[in-house]
Amino acid sequence: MKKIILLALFSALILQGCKKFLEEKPFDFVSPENVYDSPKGVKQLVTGMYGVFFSTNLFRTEAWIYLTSCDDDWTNGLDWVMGTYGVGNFTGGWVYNNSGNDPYYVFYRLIRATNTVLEVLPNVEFSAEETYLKEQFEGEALGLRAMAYFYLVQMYGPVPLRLRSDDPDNMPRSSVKDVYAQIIDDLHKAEDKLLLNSRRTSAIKRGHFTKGAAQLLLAKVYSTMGSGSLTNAQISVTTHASRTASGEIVRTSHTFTKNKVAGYDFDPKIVYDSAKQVVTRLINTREYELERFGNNWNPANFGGKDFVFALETDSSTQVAYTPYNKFFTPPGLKGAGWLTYVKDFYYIHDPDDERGMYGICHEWKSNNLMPNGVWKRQFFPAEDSNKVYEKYGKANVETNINSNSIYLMKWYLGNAANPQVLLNVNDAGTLISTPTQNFPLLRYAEAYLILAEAENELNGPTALAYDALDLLRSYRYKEDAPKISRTMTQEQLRILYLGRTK
Amino acid sequence: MLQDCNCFKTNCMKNIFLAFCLIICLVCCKIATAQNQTVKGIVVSEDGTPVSRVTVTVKGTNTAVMTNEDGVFEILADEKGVLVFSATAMETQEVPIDGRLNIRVVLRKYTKQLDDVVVIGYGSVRRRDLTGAVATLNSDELNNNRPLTIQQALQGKLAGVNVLSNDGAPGGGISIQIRGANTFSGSGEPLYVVDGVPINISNSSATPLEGTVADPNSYTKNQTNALAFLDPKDVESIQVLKDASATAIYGSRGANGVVIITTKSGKQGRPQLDFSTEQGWSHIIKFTEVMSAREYTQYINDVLYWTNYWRLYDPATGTSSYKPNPEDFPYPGIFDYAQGVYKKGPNDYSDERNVWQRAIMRSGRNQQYSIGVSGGTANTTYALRISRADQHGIVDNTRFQRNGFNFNLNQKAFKWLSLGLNSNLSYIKYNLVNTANTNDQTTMGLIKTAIYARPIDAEAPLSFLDEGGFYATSSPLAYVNTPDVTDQTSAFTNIYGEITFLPSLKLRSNLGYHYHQSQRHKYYNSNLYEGRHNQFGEGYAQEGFTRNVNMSFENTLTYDRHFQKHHLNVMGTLSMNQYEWNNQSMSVRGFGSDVTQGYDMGQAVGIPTLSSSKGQSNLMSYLGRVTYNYDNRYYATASVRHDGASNFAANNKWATFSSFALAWNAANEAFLRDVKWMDLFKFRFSYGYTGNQGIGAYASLARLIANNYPFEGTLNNGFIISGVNPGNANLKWETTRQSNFGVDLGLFDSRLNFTMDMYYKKTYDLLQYKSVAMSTGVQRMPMNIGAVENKGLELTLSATPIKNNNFTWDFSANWSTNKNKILKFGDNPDAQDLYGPYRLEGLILKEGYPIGQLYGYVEDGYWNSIDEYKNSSFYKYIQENDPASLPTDELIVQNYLGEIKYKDLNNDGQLNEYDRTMIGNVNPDFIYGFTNRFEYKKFSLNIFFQGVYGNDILNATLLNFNTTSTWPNRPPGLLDQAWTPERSVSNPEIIKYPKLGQNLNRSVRFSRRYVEDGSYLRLKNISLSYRIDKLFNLRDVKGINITFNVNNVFTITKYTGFDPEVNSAGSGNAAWRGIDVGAYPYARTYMLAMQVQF
Repeated sequence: MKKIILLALFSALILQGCKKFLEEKPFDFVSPENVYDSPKGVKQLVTGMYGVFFSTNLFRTEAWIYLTSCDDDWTNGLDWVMGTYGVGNFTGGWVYNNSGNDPYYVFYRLIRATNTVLEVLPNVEFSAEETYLKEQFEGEALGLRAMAYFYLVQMYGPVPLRLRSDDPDNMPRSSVKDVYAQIIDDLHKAEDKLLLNSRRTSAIKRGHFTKGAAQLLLAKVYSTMGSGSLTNAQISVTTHASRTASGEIVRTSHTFTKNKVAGYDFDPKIVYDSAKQVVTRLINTREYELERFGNNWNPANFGGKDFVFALETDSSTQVAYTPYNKFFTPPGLKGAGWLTYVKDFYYIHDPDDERGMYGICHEWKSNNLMPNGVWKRQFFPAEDSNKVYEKYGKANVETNINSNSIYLMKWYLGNAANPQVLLNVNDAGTLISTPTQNFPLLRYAEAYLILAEAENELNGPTALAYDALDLLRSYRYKEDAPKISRTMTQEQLRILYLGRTK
Repeated sequence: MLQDCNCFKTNCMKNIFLAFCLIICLVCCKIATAQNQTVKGIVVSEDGTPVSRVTVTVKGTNTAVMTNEDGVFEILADEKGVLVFSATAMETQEVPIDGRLNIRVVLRKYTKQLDDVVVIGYGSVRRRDLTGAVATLNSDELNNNRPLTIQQALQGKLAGVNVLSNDGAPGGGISIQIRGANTFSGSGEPLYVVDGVPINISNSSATPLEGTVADPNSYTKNQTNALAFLDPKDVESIQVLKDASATAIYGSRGANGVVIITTKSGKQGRPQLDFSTEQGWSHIIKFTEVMSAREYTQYINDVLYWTNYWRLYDPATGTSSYKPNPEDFPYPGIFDYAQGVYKKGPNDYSDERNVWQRAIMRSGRNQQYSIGVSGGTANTTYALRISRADQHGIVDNTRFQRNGFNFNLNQKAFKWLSLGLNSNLSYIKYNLVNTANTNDQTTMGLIKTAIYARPIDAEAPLSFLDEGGFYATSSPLAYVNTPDVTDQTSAFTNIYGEITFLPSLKLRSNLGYHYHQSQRHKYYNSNLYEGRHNQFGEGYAQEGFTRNVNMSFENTLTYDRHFQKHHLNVMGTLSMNQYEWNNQSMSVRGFGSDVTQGYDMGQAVGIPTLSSSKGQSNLMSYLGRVTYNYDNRYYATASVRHDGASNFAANNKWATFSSFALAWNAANEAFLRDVKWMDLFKFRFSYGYTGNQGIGAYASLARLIANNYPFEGTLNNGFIISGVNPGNANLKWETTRQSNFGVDLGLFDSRLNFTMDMYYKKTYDLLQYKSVAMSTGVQRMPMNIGAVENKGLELTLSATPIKNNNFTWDFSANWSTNKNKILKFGDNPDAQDLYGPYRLEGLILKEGYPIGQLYGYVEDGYWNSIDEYKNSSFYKYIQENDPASLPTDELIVQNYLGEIKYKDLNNDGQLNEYDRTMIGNVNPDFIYGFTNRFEYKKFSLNIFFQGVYGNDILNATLLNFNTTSTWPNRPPGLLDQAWTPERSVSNPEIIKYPKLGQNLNRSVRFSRRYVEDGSYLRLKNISLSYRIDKLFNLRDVKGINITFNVNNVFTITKYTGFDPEVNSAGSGNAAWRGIDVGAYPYARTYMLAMQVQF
């Protein structure tokens, strides 16, 4: 009997707590159960959505491809990259659905993160004073999801439309039309739910998606749909520019006939009308202001002015880790300098155009070509040097160096008018420090371009269109810059906005 | 029973764990029992010769004596008592005294094997009653070649057991593969069970795995031999369970086979003391042949000559207008009048080859000492051993030291209760060098550097060799002085209690505990490439710490009953196992001085890198087995194990594994019973399921990873789902279904034994990290996809062809073959290239082919002329499709002439990845081993051969010889076997390398050139022993054994690297076997051993 009791005791010891014994307890990583059920966790998931922007394969390294090539014809870069992405072939190279090393994947990663937030939100109870966050976070997730799909549909056309994080592996593609329908639906909802930029709270710091961002993105979506749907439209594009000895700019332009983009079966009139409505709504909120080009990169102007939605940075995600460094910044300023302007293009800018003056780096140091690692000052182009230094507040420049073949760097790092100037005036071409610099994804200036575009396509070159462009000009040139000639045709006016002359 | 020995009861019970008391006790017992009559006798063998050193005990008492030189004994015993006669290699015999005063006993030599008790997991059976496929190795066979670790001892000894040394470092890790590779994802290592306790430590190479820039902490992972803590001398026997009938009792951990290790326990009888010492010397056997300084300078001159030659080559005439003059060559061997100095020429340099390899190698010194005492009474047995092993490797500053303490105690406390303890403490210290486990040029490692380093730098100071475009690496001599020390402490205990309810019903409780910790310190000083090139300063220190704790608690109830001709054994067990681990590592750069060797990390100026991890996995199981045998003729076994594992996914926590086996021993049938020379003629069949938990802990759980974002310039915590571990709640174990058919034959009183086993294994639901659609937002996730099969044949033969008074010849051999094939790879039936850790393409996983398939281009000689290229389909293709890019004659000279010609296998006019095909297989056709043992009087000679046939080796060392841009040392053949226009006409058959020259546009394509036949036959061990029975009439010295032993005597192979036994990467992944990246070379070892028994 004793023995049987003993045996029973043994068994009892073992059988007890059996279920718990087999539960896996993670110690060195965080699992969804730890996060998904609390307001704090939801905030972390929301932050995690934005964190995708800093993925190595999104805006940390290759972002310029999506930012510029979807948007802009004026970029130039290394042959091996520009030969594929540069001509709009996003399926070339390593950039398409074959590794974690491509935008296709990273945008879907963002979509999965937004879907997760949308799924988790309804189950989480916020305190009374934070109830508004539920709406706001939902709007942010919808807005970012729309943004990701907008990039995807521009780059790859029909793509799988995933609206849940647990959608099956083998999802078919949805048509361009369906994807756009979803984007528009998401953005309309987001617009309703999001806070105005001026109404942001301490919980919604600068960098969160806001109502204005949703509106501007929506306007951009509509105008992209419209321009993609235009059939047999005539477009003039400036292809070459040079300067005469007297400084006069000679531009050559070429007129193309634009065909409809595959899958863009929208009625241009309807979508442009929507674009005009949305952008008018945005402008009427008076949430944002235009800013002089050179002042845009002043941290004081990051929120509430021209930067409607921008990539935020801090000391850990500072300039050395952002696209500025990798692609836009010359090597002497710690960058890799892949993204460049050629001299021919430089001359497209009027001499008074701040975009030429502040948007392009004129002077830097390089050890690229020099033996023994001696840094060499490089400057380009010589004829603008004194003018540039005047702007920088420094005269009597020793101009030297370089032939026409040297590239110019696209330059976003500040200017003389800005107290945060990054150039070291005592040792031109070097940085004083490694500053934080936000990177704009949506700018208010675009609102006026879209307004001009929509008006021109709907009603031709009316005063509304001319005024919008003139307003932008007044922030780019001297304030008394001459107004645009009022005698242009619809086709001629297109050059001003299809070139994305921001 | 205990009444006979009161003193034992009173004196010793209180001090049950103190073995020395037992010895005292024995003395007491002798006095206390000296009351009966004296029985005299003689023990002889079957041929009538007296047998000495036979232990004679009175059954049920502690009284024991030994026979003397003449086989004579004298013992006090009750006239109704029973005497038990036992001796090594003899059958134990019980003889009733029946009042006799003089007894003659004939002891029979042990009919080996068939009556051995074989441990089969949660029980044991006689070998002749086995129904499953189980291979056994006993202590003597194990220790023949004086191995340092258990696995070394297993190589070539057992059919179906493929032992692969990871490298030749002292105490280096070894992988064991039983019956082929079952899995892509895990290592495929068997489960090790020591004294009933499963061991849960990874069993990888002792040499460091190099980290990457992205993951510097991978430097500090301590991967060493999991079983190094056990001294093979402490091991009584090793059983390898191979078929499903045997392994299913280990359920979800049984699929890769099970290795059961039993340590030595004491035997009843007087205390036996033994002392043994081994002194050894080891030397490198073979170098990887590279040029001498003279050849190398000649080679550099040649390269520059040919560079100029091709530069001025006129395709029209087929000749070069280049006129060489001495100034063109760095080694002209002339007096330079302008500078007034003599410039050394090739003939001024040394003729000695492999100088750097010689520089880092030396003769290694080995020492082993051990002292043990064992013995016991009817109720208590004990065995205790203290040992020390110290082996210096053949690479300078490499060393393995082990101090071990092993103690086993068994005590019968009451009639119904036995208690016992198996324990082992060990402290191991490894001194390691950075041997190459990576093909990354920036972390070359010592061995590869010693191969590639330029021989003319042999006198260079201990600094860099990175000038002149050489690899970014340091002098090999600087590497050997880099401290890289791993300390390991292991404590193993197993405590058991066994309650006998009825003679046939027993309950055994085991509580096992294994604590294993390991700490590694490494410092790259400021003279080393790794220690210098960094913005954070000089000197780089790494410190890693790992701790594993494994606990198991098992309760087994066994019912064992013979009735009439039936024998029934029923076993049921409840088992719980908990395994916990944690790791910490830290590294930092920037030390003010190298003096402290990185032991003062706080002083460093760099930003420290810290990492840590912790995990736990639990297993709980119910298992049972029924064994039935009728009349020793018909056998049946069925077993089942129900495993609940924390590693398994939420929806699949429990799994059941079962097996059955049938056997028929025809030798006991009426029609064969009269055939006296046939002891055993058994047919076995088994079928069953086992699992592989290779799933890894936490693999099924979703992970969130940090994804922070700086709102308004301030970083906020963010989380996002992991891109590779999004969670899979349906993840399952891998299942292996195995059937086995075997025949056992025992003839002539077990002087001839033969075993044959055939098996078929299919493993399905393989665990793999599969890529999923990128649009899911994750890249890969663990899934159960794919199936692989293994089928094979195993033969084992042992025989004693000659046995007489003076001479015995024992012979044993094993041979096994295994064919591995991937049946199903998954959703993506296309081939998957394995780049592995070395960035090598070459290995492929593809349906219909084995794991370990080699894949590459096929060579077709060399392009011998410009016209040959112009007439080729490649040229025509460009002509037709892209005439703008047609190569000019100059480009053809540079890119094609004298270069390797590859076959356009798909005939599309292009040479690309689609022109690759299957070019080799790293799996052997068969493996084998055979041993001859001769005994003549007091001499015994043991000769052990071992071999592998039909496998290929991916010799990655050769890949680096084919680049054109750098100046590493090269194989000597390059001088007169490289392509030249003359040779291509006069004797093309000698050309083995493409043309020489700099700035050639050469892309190295993986082809059969880098794959070599890995077959070998090795005289692994030869040992000669002499036995001295008496030493100067010293009464207590019972015998001295002196052995001279040589390991790795010779190897017959065509392989050109250090050694055909290569497995630098395969320890961690079964799909990466057979790659040679310049691992630690193997040594030939001479050893002199002496064993003294008291």
